[in-house]
Amino acid sequence: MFIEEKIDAKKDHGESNQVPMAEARELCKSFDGQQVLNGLNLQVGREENLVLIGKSGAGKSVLFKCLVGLMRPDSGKAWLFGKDISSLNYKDLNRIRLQVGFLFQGAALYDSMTVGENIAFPLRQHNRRIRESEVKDAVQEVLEQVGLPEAVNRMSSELSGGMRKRIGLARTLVTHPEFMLYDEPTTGLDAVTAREISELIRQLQQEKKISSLVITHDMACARIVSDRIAVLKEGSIRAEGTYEQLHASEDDWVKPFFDTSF
Amino acid sequence: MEKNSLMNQISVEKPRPSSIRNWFSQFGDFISFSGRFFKDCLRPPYNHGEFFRQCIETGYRSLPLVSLTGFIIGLVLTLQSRPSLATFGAESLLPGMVATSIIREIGPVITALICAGKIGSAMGAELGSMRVTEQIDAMEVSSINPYKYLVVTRVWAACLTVPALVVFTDAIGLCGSYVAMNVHSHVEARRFFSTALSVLDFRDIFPALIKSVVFGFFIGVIGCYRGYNAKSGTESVGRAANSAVVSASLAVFIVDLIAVQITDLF
Ligand SMILES: Nc1ncnc2c1ncn2[C@@H]1O[C@H](COP(=O)(O)OP(=O)(O)OP(=O)(O)O)[C@@H](O)[C@H]1O
Ligand SMILES: [Mg+2]
Repeated sequence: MFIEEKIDAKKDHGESNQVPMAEARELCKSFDGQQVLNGLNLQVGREENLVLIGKSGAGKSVLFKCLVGLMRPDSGKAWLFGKDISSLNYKDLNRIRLQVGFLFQGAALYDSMTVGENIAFPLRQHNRRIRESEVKDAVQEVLEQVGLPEAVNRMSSELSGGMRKRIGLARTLVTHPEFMLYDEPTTGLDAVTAREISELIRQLQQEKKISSLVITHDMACARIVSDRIAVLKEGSIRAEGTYEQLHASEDDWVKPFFDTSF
Repeated sequence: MEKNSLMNQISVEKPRPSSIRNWFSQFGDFISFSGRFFKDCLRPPYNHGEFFRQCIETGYRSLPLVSLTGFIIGLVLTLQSRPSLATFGAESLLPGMVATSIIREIGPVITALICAGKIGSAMGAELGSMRVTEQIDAMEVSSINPYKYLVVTRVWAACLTVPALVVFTDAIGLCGSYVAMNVHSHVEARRFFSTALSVLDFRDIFPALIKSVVFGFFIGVIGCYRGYNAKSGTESVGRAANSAVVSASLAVFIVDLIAVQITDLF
């Protein structure tokens, strides 16, 4: 809506429903001899919410970065909207990225800006002729979605962890992406807000057809959000299924994720 | 026992071939990083807002520091040169000599060194912490070119503000010199400045200005390079700021050395 180039990009890769939103094939990535991803395969379909769980340090955030081209995998390929991102030039990659929203684990808010400027930043950068009133309305809309309409004039460096997370979410939503990558959207939030955010993710999928890949350690969130859950272990996806299927799993290492009795 | 372990440590610290190779690959990285500036510096879209913010940040906020230093340098230089000129009875040459040395050499170099400390470290630390907290990645994934937004604006600002600060330091330095002249005898301000400036010509002022622009460029580009390429972890922010100052100061002297060879040709 606010971004002119977006329309072209849509034309480019067609509207075909068969192409998955994101796909990873045989991804490998290691850091100084430590193998983090080891032949990982993953597919996120259209209008699907896939939740990714796995132990801390398993390589979930690394996988996200490989998917959007922030990190180059040692081998294997990542596709977004049916395009192999390693084969794209900078301009085409940026066009694809316009349709992808990325919520960072640490929110990654721009410290030198206020909350409002943070959210308006991608809008202003992508459409230089945008009117101030439009920016203001768009900012207000997403802030209300994440439940922080009063924070608009605060400096982002003075927010609490949970607020930063939500502002980060608002900043990615403001450009209306078609595919979202959420890195722990509910971490650091109280149970009530966590539930609201989980429901927001669900609602975005159902109403705006935004499919997503969600990393979470919060099983309540996983239950609300997921169509399918994938479990990452030792560098690849070792189990996959709906929440109910995995919940009923007898595997020694899948079980603890769903065990809330301790 | 103690001595032995110390020896072991020292032998480990010896530069190995890999660290030399490392240095060269880093240097190559730096060349391509600065080359990118020339590729991107004139291409739209422009980020005026960020550019002006950086000009204020680098230029305006350095004013108090450079004016104080400039004043002291002018004052001290005059007080210290005076006795040696007096032995030859050549005190009347003092204003001209001080003006030439301030404008040709001391003004630009001192200002550049101060800017290397103040601007270089600020850029290294700011971009370093943006790198560490993934703010640069966040720009990248939202299809905003972080190099253009962060680096090009900062380097432009440094290229512009450093020469402006140099001119300012020169002026304040001459004022300091005037004050020092008045310690021993009364000199009329108009006479002082007209004799000081009459010895200067185009060949004193112009190369100094060009040199200052180059100083600004290197201070900006080195500060940004160190910050932009900071590794993850908070201690790397400190390291980025620190190495930005060290490399930028070194670069100032090297540029100065090359500049003097070039101006000698004409
Ligand atoms: N830039 C990097 N340089 C070196 N090692 C890295 C880098 N990024 C990640 N790693 C390593 O890769 C491994 C996986 O990290 P990652 O951040 O993907 O974990 P994660 O699954 O997201 O964990 P968490 O749930 O705690 O966020 C870790 O062991 C980490 O040390
Ligand atoms: Mg992570």
